[in-house]
Amino acid sequence: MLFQVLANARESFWMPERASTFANEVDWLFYCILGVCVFLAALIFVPLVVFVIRYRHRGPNDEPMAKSPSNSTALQLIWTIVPTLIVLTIFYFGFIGYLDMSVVPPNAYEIQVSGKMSKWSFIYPNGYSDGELHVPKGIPVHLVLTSEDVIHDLYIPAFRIKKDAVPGRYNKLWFQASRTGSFDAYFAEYGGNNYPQMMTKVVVHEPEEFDAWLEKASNWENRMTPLEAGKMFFNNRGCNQCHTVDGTRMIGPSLKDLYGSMQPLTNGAKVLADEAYLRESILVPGAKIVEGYTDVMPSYQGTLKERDLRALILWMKSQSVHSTTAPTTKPAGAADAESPPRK
Amino acid sequence: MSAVVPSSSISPLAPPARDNYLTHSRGIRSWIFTLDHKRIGVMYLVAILTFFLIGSVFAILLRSQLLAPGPALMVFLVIIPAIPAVLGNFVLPMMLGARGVAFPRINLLGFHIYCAGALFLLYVISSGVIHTAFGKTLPGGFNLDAGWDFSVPYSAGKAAGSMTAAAFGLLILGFSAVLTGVNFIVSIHMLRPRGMTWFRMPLFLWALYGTAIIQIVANGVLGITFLLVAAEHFRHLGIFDPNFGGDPVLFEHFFWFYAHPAVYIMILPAMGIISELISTFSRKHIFGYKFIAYSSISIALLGFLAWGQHMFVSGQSGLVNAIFSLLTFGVAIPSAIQICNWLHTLHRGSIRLQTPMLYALGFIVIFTIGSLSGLFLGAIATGIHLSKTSFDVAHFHYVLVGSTLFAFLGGMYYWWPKITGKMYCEKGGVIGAIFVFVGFNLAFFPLFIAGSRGVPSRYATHAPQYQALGIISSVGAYILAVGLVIALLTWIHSLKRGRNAPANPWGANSLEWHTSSPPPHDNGQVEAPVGDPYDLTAWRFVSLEEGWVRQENPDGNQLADRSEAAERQDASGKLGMWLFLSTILLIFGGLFCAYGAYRYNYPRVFAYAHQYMDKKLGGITTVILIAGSFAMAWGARCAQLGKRAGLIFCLIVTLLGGLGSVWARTIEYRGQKQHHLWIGAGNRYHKDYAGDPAADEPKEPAEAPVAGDDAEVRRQGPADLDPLAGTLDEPKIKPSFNTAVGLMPAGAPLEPAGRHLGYKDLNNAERAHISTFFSLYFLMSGLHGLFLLIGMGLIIRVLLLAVCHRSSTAWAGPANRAGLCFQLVTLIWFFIFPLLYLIH
Repeated sequence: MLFQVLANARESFWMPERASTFANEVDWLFYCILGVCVFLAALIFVPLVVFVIRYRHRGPNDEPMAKSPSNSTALQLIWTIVPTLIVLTIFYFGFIGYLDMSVVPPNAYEIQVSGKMSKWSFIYPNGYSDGELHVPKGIPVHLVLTSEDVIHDLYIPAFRIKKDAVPGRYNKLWFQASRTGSFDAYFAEYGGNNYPQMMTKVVVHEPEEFDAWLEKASNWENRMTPLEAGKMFFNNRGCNQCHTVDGTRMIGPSLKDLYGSMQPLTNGAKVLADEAYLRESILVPGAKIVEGYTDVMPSYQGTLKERDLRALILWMKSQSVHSTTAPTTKPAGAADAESPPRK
Repeated sequence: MSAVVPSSSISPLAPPARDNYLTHSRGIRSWIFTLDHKRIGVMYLVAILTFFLIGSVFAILLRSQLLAPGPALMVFLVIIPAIPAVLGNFVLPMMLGARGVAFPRINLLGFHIYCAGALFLLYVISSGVIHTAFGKTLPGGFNLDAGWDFSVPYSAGKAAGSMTAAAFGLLILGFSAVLTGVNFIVSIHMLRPRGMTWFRMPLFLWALYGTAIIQIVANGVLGITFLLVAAEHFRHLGIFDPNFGGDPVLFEHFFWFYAHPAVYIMILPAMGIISELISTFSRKHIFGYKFIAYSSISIALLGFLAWGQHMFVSGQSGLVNAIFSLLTFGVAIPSAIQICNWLHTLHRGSIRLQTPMLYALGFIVIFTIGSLSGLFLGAIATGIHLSKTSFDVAHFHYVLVGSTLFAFLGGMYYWWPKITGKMYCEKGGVIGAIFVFVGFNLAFFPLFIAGSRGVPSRYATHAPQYQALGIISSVGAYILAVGLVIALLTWIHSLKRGRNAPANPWGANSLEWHTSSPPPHDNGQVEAPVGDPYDLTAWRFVSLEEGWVRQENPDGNQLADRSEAAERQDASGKLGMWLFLSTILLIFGGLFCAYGAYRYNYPRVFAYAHQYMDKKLGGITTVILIAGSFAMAWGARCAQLGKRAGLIFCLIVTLLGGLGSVWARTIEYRGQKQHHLWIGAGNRYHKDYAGDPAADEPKEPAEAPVAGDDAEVRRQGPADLDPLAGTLDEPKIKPSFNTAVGLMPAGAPLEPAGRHLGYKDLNNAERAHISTFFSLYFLMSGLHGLFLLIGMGLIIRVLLLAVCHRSSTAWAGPANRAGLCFQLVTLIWFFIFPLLYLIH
């Protein structure tokens, strides 16, 4: 069978290598349409050539061989209905293939993708961000795309997928890699002058290798101090959506001078905001709620490792005047990008 | 005369010494200010060929740079106007047997506007080219850096200055296209001679008719799109730019709503030409005339519904993608019908492989490949993989660039003897056609393979594994260029050395072949018989010098009768006005679409922000406009009855009504500006607003005169104006301007706080869109005001005519048309008023 040969081949004359579960479906449809097209083209080009040779004029006043009718409703119906049926069939199969692509499986591994003028950022569930896309083989991966500046378009030919990253929107895309290896990913929308350089790699690992890669890549201990790491977690893990460091009240209490202070709770008691309290509030946020706030914070149990927690608490201490352990001035690494200008 | 003497009393052969349109008058002015459609067509030809050469130079200059503004130049300056503006202008009136188009002056104006727009665009683009190539900036120069689809926010952000300028250039070109389109439609409706029914028109006219419809509709939308882009750039409206609460995908919708039909502006007239060529050179009646005619019109209409196929990957919903996929396939069917009918026309014909026919056969091959490759892009699953790759580019080039090029060249060779009165060298033409065909396929077919293998469109053939394809493609491009140069040389050779062309060198039967080559100034078709344009049986080949001569006058042919043409003058004017107004309606249509999109997404923002609208002023405007509109209707009636005094009175009343509503608008704007509800950064809900929204409010209720009126009114306190100033528990205070603008007497009680939506009820995402509401409001009411002023200008003109002339012939027609315009302006207000002032 032709299709079986196709399904086994890594790449074919028309299509690039296949590395996702979609690729087989898309290629199958592509070659079906190609077959239809070759057939239709032959149906048009062969008569065209035959007529031109067979009915070529013989002399200056040569007239058509016979006075043929200038219309035939039966013929018109044939070449209206047959193409209609053909395109409806192709539409149907195209749509069926698309339905699979548009429904993200519920258990998919989610990666946030953010496009920027010169690079993609792929942000993994543990908050680690990388310029290359690494995915496990055989597990559905769900990409959530957005853009920080202009419209970009993520295109991974080997997976047969493409989606726009639009500023102000979240577009969804999913795939399941079927083969390990390294593949190209492109920006397919216009994205500035240095366009052609803006390619990146997609690396497909075996699932266990993927976990090891992520663990290794996201281990900050080799790259930064705990204070820097704590600041990174504050900014990357969504803490700064609800907490400030300048004393402004948002959805949650400000972290400024929080460490070491006495906090009134909703149940009327008071608590000293020490390491144990901060740790508990991050892992079990609903345990002790400060008065005037509600229990809306998600738990970070499992998403922050022990060393991450320690770094985060260390950094929170550095934001407080009650701190005895943290340096009085901020370390050079933790540049005060997040603190607003004093009035 | 040769031995064969035509038996018919009507001789198509004119005396050779007869005056023709080229020699009719001399001097450069007689060309630049000519009202002769033939000369205008020739001038378009010269202009388009010039821009084509300039575009080619850019393409060579920028070969190293992958971004090339060259394509934009080629598409908008050359490919889109090539067939309608050159061949359409020259041939259309002659196919109708008319002396010219319906509005010769507007036609000339269209040409001048085209030149102005083209030169402007050329300056913008060339300054960009110079900037990229040499690093210098021309005075007032721009650096055009965006794809040909001008994607916002890229275009509204980084290279916005030049984008806005380029957009302005396109707007000018679009206006020129609208003028041409109006002319074509009115000419086809009004100038057909008696006996030429709709189904006795040559198919080229059907195609031009469909094209003109698209031009009028699509350019209206293009106009509003680029107006919005420009406004976005200068005032940060927040319609498209997400930084100010806009939606870039809305721009994509707008752009493709124009750009997808623009595809058919190029391809439809091309298909019309092919129908003429295939029939003539097969010496057979075209097969399935009515089906080709209907499929032309259905392509024009379906083309408007298929724009979303360009946005499969933009994140629109699956259902929307499915609908657009289906509609895209819908366009394939009329294309298939036309191809099959052409093929069947060849069957049992007597085929002459002269140069125009070679291009026509080449067109069928190219267009078939292009259409079939569209099936891959239309099926969503494969379309996602292939869109925005070089497969997409190849499809575009086959179905558009190639097809238009082949049809244009075929049409040029076909009508060349008629236009210039000279024959071209057949051998040169044939060689050129073969080079063009081979070169085109070599240049663009490899892109299909590269694209399906995953090379994105703008990466060209960068990757080393596609080097072979890249080389084939380059070789093909050179062969294509050689072919084009050969074609150009045959034309130059023909002008210098070509033998004189007979009246009918091909034996075709449409009316332009019934007059001498080149035609006389007035087209000389008074004696041309009107019949079936594809009935070729009466023509017999006599000699190379005399061409084809008509042997008899078959039954059913009638003499052209132009006696009615003069009576139709006024009707033509009215139809032209209607078509023009429909463009204006579409401009508002675009705005209403933007409104609908935001209203649907942020209903609460609209419910909140509309509370700032002054319903009383809006109501007063409505009443005034209705009164003016009644007066105008009565005035038009007076004009028809010839009652001059009544007309003058009614016009004055209408003018007063117009002035009244302009006055009301001014008061409203002034109030809004004072309270920082102005457009862009002058709006306190805008991201760029300089001050603190609450702090900028007047702190004390002051006794201040407002708007220079004699009424001194009490200024409202901050609590009434600023929803932020309300207490936490009672935020629902209704903002009102009634007192501020002098509509309520001083000291009148403020409206009680109702159960209205307050600022605090909105979430952050909604708050970011409040200023978008005001942007839409100012755009809608401002544009409406502009059209109101134009309408009043027309009325003043009619008033002057009525005062100066006693005879009703001078003012009856214009009064009617000005009336139409004013009624339309009123009508638009009936939509704006409830949408902006009365929503809940």
